[in-house]
Formats: sequence, structure tokens, C-alpha cells
Amino acid sequence: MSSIPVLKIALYNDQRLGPIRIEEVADYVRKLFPFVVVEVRDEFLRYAVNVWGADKRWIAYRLASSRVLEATSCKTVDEPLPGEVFYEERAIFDLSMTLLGVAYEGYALQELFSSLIPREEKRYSLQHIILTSRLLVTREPREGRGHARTIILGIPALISISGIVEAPALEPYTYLKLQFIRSPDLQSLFLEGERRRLGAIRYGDERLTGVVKGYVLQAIFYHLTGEPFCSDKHCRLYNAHTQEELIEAQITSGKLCKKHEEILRKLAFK
Amino acid sequence: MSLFSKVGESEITRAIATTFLEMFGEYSQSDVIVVGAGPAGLMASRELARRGVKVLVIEQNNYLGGGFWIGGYLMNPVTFRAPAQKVLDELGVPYKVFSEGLYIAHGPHACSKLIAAACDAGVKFLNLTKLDDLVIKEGAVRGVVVNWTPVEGLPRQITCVDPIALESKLVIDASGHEAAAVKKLEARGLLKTRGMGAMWVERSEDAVVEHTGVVFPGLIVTGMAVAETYGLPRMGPTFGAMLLSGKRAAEVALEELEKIEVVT
Repeated sequence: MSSIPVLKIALYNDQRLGPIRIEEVADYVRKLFPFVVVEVRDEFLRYAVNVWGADKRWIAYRLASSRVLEATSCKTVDEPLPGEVFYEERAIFDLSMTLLGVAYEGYALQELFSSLIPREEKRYSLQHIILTSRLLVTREPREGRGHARTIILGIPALISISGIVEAPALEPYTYLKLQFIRSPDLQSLFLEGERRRLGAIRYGDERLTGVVKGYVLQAIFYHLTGEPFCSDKHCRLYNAHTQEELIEAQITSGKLCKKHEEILRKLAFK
Repeated sequence: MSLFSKVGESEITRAIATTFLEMFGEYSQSDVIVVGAGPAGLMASRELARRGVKVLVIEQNNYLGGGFWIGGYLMNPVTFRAPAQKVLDELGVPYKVFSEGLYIAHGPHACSKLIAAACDAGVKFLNLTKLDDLVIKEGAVRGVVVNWTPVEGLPRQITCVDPIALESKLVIDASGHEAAAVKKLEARGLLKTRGMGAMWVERSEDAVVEHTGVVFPGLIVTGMAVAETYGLPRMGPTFGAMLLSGKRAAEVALEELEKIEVVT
């Protein structure tokens, strides 16, 4: 009999940037981790307001304050404009808003989301994994500049759908060529063309569900073992930095490596 | 015998002046004043006027359309990303599919159709009219102070021509990169704009449409003025966001007008 206490995962949905088959993700987790109970919930912020009674105006203000103004320093706004607060307030309930074009400081958002989780739901045996359309940026101290992120691990774990599209790099040649294109629109069209040419993940991509499965696994492994990543490029726990690596780990392979399968087996029957 | 009817010069002058002044007098109090007759301003004004709202557009140039005549680098084709082609369908603008999700139309055709649609809906225009200041009453924007563009272009010591005020329930800032109305509030210390940003250039169109809305009581911001106000990424000659932002501005204006009606 398993000595590991039953782990419950609250998996928060987000369908703004294309259909993610959330029940398929939940079933995948249930299959891999028989001792885990997965509960699929509404979008995190809507859930926080509707179920936990969080103050939407306060959430909106904090979200607006977490906007990144400048990529290099990851500087956030000092005092949000009323229009920015209205935008965030509207975004909590208006699911037609894509939230594209705005980047948020990832740790500030994680802190905000964490503060919304009520005390009785904040325990080791209940893991909160949040899918979000918002683009998350954090500062990489070694490089001294901000980076878009696919996932921010911790309590709660945030998986950024826009991050899956935007953060992992395309091939170096793309960026070399991009430097010669001045118009932002032409840059945009060029990048879109490159995404297609390279088979990268795009918004609304059918493959997003598969990719999300991998990131959910990373979040669970981090929660259970403290180590979310694997050095094997064919393992779903590989920390991909490029779209090519991402697709290899999550789609082409779509499996755990032997080492992590073994860890999983031990976790299940410990 | 002349091909045309015999009309004296003074009669022609009277026709122009009377017609202009009649409209000017009537629209010195409007429901909505739109600052700028670019694609976003035209779209917003057309959407409002066709719903019976009394709309006046002030435009600092002697032509309407702003940058919508030209697609960029003095080339006429203008581009739109899906779903903005639906607006072209609505306006009857012919276009072609250039690639998946990208549509292209002839700038002069698209621009003139939009101007005509605004005129057909009943929008009134004041050309060569520059925003000088805002009318602010009880903490809300309730009109504009304007002067002739040529007058504004000269040193005040020479012209000594005072501006005049036009009142409205709402003002929409559709003045493009200038964000003229918003900047007037900033000059008074009533808000602080972020300036045009560089973050995430690719996704600027969504952000402009989704941020279109009330920026200060009585003032709605649309089009590129949105990007200037909120520090959103700048974008080039793609016009879909301008049209959809204009539509959104009209929706917000209708909601705001309803609130004002309830209060009064």
C-alpha cells in the first residue's frame, strides 16, 4: 500500500488562446499518477472571485501593477493607470480577451495568485497548477535581462500558454534575418511565416494539449521530488529552450525517459 | 447659353457659410466629439452615428482619413489581419487574400469607402481644426477647445485669435500617435501616459483593441492613441486593429452614454 498521502491537484483551465483539451490532460495525469486526484477548475481568477470571494478590483489593481514596461530590466509600472485597471478587471470575466501584447512580471503574478488561495487550500497535499494566457517574463540575473517563460514552478505553478508559443526560441537564422526587417508588421509576418516553416507551436495549435501535459508533469515532479527537469532531450521533463527541443520532448517523444519512468514507478508504489 | 445655372459669387459664399454655420451651431453641443479622422476615429464615429448618436469629428488636416490612404512607404495597398476583413465586407471594400489570415485592399478605395460610410451615417466634420484644450466639468471631460490649424501653427503673439469651446457628453481621442486629448490631461497632471512601448511587438494589434476604452471620465481612447497611452508596442501599416478599436470605442461610448442618461 502506498505510504504517500493522496495528492490532489487543482488544475485551472484557460482556453483563451485556443482549445486545450483539459480533461485529456487531467486523464493523462491520473493515468501516470494513480495516487493523484485531479480536479479541473475554471480559470484561476474567475474561480478566485466566484468561489473564494476575492475582490476583483484589488486583483485588477495588482495585475496592472505587475505589467512589465521594459524587457531588459523587467521594470513594472509604478502606479497603474485607471484604464489598465479597468482592462484587467474586464479580463477576469471577458473570456473573448486574448490578453496578448501585455507581459507580466512572473514572480509578481505568482505572488498575487498565491495570495488569493485561501488558507485551507494551501497545503502540501493540494497542488495548484494554473494555466494562464498571460505572458510571463522574469529577469535572468546572469544575463541581466528579462526572458519570457513557459512555466514558473512553485506554489502555485504557472504554465503560460502564450509562453509556450513565444518563449522557446526559433532557429538562430530566423533572428539574424529578423535584424534586417525594420517594420514591426513585417517582422510580425516574417516570424509567423518562420513559425509555420519550422513547424513551431502556434496559437490555437492542436499540439498545445500535448505540450501542456509535459509542463504539468514538470510541475508535479517539482512538487513531489524538488527536481522538475531532466537532461535527456527526449524526456518530457526536459527544460526546452527552443521550439525544436520543445516539440522533440513533448510531441515527437512525448514520454518520460527510463530514469524518470523508474522514479514515477517508485513514487507510485513507495 | 451656359451649361450651368446663373448663380452669383455671393450666393455661393452664402450657401457655404450658411450651411457651415448651421451645422456648426447645431454641433457646438454634440453627444460625442471625436478627435481625429483616421481609421479608428472614422470607424468609431460611423458606428455611433448609425445608432442615432450626434457625432462631430474634428480633424487637424484638410483631408479625412489620416494614414489610411497609404499602406506604408508611399505604397497604396493596405493590409488587414483576420478577422478585420469582416469590416471590409461590411463597408463594401474589395480585397484579396494575400496569405493565410492576411488580406490586402487598395488604400484609397478602403479609405474613401470608410469616409463615405461615416458621412452616410450622419457624422459631421470640422476640418483644419486643431485641439487646443479640453473642457473639463466636475472631474470629467465634457468637450473640446479648438482653433483653426493655421492659427495654431502661428506664434500666439502674431495671431491673437482665441480658441472656442465645443461641448459634448463624451470625447474620443482618435488622434493617433499624438494622443492629443490624453496629452492635454497629462499636461494638467491628471494622468501619466506610458509612451509607445517596444514589448512584444508581434501582438500589438490584440492589445490595442483590448485596451480601447475609458482612460479618464468622459474620455475614451482608440487607435494608436491607445498604444501611446498604455505603452503598448507600436505597429506598422496594418489597419485591422484601427478598425476594430474604433468599433470597440463606439461600444464603450454607447455604454457610457447610457450611464450619463441614467444619471441625468
